[in-house]
Amino acid sequence: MRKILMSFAVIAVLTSGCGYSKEYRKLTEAGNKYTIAVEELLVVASKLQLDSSSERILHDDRIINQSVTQYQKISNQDREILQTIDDIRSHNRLLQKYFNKLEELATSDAPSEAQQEIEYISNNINSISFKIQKSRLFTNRSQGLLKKITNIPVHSQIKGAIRKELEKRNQTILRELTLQREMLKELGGFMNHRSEEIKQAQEIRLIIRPLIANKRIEDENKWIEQRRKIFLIDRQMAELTNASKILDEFKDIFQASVQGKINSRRLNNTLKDIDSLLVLLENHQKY
Amino acid sequence: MANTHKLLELMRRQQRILFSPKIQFLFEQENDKLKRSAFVEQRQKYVNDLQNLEKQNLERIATKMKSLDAELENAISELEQELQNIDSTVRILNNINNVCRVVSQIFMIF
Repeated sequence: MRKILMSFAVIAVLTSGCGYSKEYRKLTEAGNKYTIAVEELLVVASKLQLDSSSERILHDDRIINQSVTQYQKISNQDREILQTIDDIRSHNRLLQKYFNKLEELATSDAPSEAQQEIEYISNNINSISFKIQKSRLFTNRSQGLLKKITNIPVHSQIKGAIRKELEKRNQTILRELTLQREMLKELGGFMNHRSEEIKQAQEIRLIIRPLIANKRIEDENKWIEQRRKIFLIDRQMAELTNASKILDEFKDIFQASVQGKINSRRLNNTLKDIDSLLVLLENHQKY
Repeated sequence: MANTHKLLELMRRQQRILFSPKIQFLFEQENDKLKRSAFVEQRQKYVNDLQNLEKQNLERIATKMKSLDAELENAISELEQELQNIDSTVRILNNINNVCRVVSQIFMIF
């Protein structure tokens, strides 16, 4: 009977699984947040496309009355650009799903669940052993040791799976992040131009026109507030561009992580920088 | 590629000049309707050309990204498989625990 009980204990320990590094968790978290920030940037780019195009339509209409055909031509072009941005978004969602799965693996609570199960198993085995031969199979010390080593196989299983995945897919993800860099560069120019267009158009429409009109400005406080907001568009865009640099650096961070050449501090700073960018993007959407 | 970016930046700057307060107000005050119409038509054509160039650049990147979709999908399903393997490890332990509990209860009866 003692042999049977021991076999249960051995099987239990072998099937459960130490300490995969916290760097993996941080890297997968950073990857996940990176894709969220890219998604938000693409949403802002779509809005800037529509707003700048609306401002242009109004400007053209001031010079000569616009026809339905002219309007539809501009709208069709907007649709095509939004479609291209949506194509990039749907690919980005796939990358997000990938980092999500990696994060799920890295933050899995399976090791603690396994530890809990092994505690129950050793208690039950002790209870059986006591009933059979009036002695406990596991002393308090060996039970503690068993709990400690139980999560080693599960931890190793997770660590091994993440390492295997990162090694296997390293080149693909690096290719992906190189393309993302290229896309972010294009998007940066695209967004900056539209932001400057909107600023210039709004300054004409909301500030200069009421000012040069013969009629007095009705709500002067509102005019002052609008002027301030329009002037600050540049600063907001500059902040966003500056904060977005972290996305550009993510490829190097990923590469360094896979090669084991990164420390927790750098990963923590990356996570902080991506969080700040996400806050800026959220504020930009409210504006 | 660097030349395309230079051209894009140049075209963007010129487009902003075409929509600047000076040019905008000049054409709003133009008496000749034909001149106004021709200017807007040419300005719209310029915007259209610039946006086509921007769209082509984004599409080129989107196409390259799409070629990685299959590999990413494979990676996602392999990771899903790994997650299931880990879950089954915990399930095995849970089953062992259940067996032990039953055995313990049997011994209580006897």
